[in-house]
Amino acid sequence: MCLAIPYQVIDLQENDSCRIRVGSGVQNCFIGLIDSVKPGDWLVVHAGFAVEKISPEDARENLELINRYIFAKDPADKDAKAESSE
Amino acid sequence: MSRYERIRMSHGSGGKLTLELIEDLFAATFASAPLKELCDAAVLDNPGGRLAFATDSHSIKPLFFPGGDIGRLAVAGTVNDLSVMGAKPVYLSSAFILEEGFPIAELTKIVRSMKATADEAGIEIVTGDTKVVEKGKGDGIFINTTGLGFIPDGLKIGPQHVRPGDVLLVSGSIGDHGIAVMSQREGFEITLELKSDVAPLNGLIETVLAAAPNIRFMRDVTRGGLAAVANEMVMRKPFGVRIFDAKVPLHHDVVEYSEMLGIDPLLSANEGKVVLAAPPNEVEAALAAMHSHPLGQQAAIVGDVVKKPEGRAIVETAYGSRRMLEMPIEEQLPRIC
Amino acid sequence: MKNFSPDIYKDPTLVARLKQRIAELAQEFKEPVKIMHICGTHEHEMGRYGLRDLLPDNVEVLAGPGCPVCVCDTEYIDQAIQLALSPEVILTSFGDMLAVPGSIPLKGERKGDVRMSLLDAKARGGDVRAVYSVFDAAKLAQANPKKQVVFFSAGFETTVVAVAALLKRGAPDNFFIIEANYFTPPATHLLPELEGFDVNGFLLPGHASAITGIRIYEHLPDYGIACASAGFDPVDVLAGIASVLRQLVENKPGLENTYGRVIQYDGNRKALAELDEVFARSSKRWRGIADIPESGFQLKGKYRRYSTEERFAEVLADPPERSVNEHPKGCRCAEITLGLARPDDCPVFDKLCTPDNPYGPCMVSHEGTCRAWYIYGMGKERIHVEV
Repeated sequence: MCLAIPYQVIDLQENDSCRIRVGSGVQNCFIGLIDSVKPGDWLVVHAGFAVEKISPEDARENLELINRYIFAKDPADKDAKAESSE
Repeated sequence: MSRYERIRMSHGSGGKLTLELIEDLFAATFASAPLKELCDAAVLDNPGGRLAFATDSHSIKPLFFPGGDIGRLAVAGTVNDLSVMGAKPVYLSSAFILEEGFPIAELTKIVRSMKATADEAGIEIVTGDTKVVEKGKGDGIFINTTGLGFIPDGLKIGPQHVRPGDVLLVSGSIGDHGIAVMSQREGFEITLELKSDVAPLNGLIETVLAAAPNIRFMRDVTRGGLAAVANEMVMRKPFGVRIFDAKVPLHHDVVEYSEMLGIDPLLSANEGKVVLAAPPNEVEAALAAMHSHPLGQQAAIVGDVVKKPEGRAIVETAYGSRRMLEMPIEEQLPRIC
Repeated sequence: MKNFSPDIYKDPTLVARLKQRIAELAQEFKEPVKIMHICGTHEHEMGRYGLRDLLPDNVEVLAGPGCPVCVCDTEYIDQAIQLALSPEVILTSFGDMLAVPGSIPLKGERKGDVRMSLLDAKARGGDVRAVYSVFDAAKLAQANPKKQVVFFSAGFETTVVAVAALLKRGAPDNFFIIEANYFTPPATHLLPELEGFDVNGFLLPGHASAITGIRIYEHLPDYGIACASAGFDPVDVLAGIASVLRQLVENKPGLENTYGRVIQYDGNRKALAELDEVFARSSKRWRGIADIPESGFQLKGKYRRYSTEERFAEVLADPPERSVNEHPKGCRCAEITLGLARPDDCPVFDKLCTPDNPYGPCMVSHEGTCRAWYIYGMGKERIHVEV
């Protein structure tokens, strides 16, 4: 029961909430469980609240993991991920 | 009529107030000759040929939604049911069930919208009926429309004429009405670019049939969406249909809100789109004809009729994988799973 | 953040490369490989994108107990129905729960051992409303001060943290919850101990793990089971599968996070702190499976006043007649939920039990295994198209 989707923050609102852009519309999102949200941040939103924030570093590492480590045929390449994230 | 702001029980009594409502609002707005005579039945000219006859009752919440209202829906719905049988819609009846207390200003808006839609479709509203139910016993307003149309000779349209190799086309973006209405429901009330697509399709369909007279199957997309139409076309038939989901035109709001609410856009409703199956040699003509019409700008080829699997509708994804396309079962509800 | 594009995880080129990589890895196995996911959203997304169709014949993905609708104890469903039928109550629920049969028999209406659902309660005059979030339910309570608004709080750790956050900040006095929230990790302790459980890898939940982190799953590799926490887009799901296969090929079952853009190893600490303040962990009945210690959430301390069990104790003390069996006769939802049977092993599947007349919970929920098999055709042979 965990459908959640990344959305971008438009601006911050009162009561631990922000507005997010969904299509041409705007939705409110509760952000009480996330630290330091700024406009432009990407939030993973489930049933009206943010579960997590996606940081640019984590996003890049995630894609690298998929691209390099998963595809690499030589297990030694596993280290490539650790190196590249430094 | 102007003496009252809201519907009273007497407006449905068959007495003076009923007559006022009919004369001052319905007959005055719909302005057809048979209606003005206030007879028990409309007496109509018969242009000849086979008759198509369709009826549909309409209830919707909210009554006014982005892109339309219940009046436009009531006229377009029946016009479209006639048109997809290849008929030229000519006459329409309109029967109202009104709830006591319903604002006459809203009724007037709805009736005017019906007239405007009827004019757009080139159809006459020639007879009608009004009943009033007690406060709390209705949902404001229900409208039933029944339509008559005439079918030109030579058309062979229906699932029995479909053959493997035929190509499936849609006249435009799918799911618009369903998501536009959902965006206005209690708890949502979002403003979107997306509007309901509710529209009479007879003009578009006439254009297509002129260019591609051997269209084998047509159905307007309504509740149940493209999924329902695809399944109805092949149910218990010795062929199946394959939809390429990446080719189905979708408004970006439909994509985003379907995703957010966890619903499948292929199951979301339209009220102004037609799906048709064309024989291979008429595909281009049918597509060009739709593109030439204001309501068919986004028309696209979305699938084909296949020998197997028999009787089933399937989706082929952008990844080359396949899945069944379900026959919708219940109203789509927001899902969090 | 300019360099994040969610669409990349739906990219057909990346999917094609992963498909090929999975096929290469699969060649290393003589025996079939079984991977179990324990999140219903994985089931749903796999069905919707036809992802099983992209896997080699010797790689099978099974659905585990990851559908909260399927494992929700009948007691909570029956309680929701009973409250919905009280004139003072507006019963709010996620859409998913509305059609799930509980254990109150519904006699003479449809064929077979049919039980009442919230939709049946609605048809009998109950004020039952689908909501998108717990916040919407609380707003409804504010707008209807003369009514008692009950939120059927089903779901796993992802969903329950929002309830905790709301109650911590104060909810209206006429707002109550049915405490039907479940905690996944304890169930994963149970699985490898089951007789006949024969699974080589786990796809760990995505958004539930965003809350809890994945440290709590560190015990699983000790059973020789390779684990990967995975997201839900096609690229994410296939990456998780590829990760499990690769761990198995290397014979090093471990715990890998292939959804690192969302899951931190120790989870969302702020969310966990609020959860701990409002809820205690308690033993819960998993429908048809077992009572699992520590596997549920119960309001604690001053927050108990929001519990329906406190507020409606009198009403609930007089429950309607209930069937003794958790699942209707013949239904094998319990074994299907544990990966011990497939829907086509069940005698009522596609016969008495169909989505328009659901018998067991797995046929109701969009993420239920039976429903997914039924509507996406996964029980059949691979869909063969002849043009």
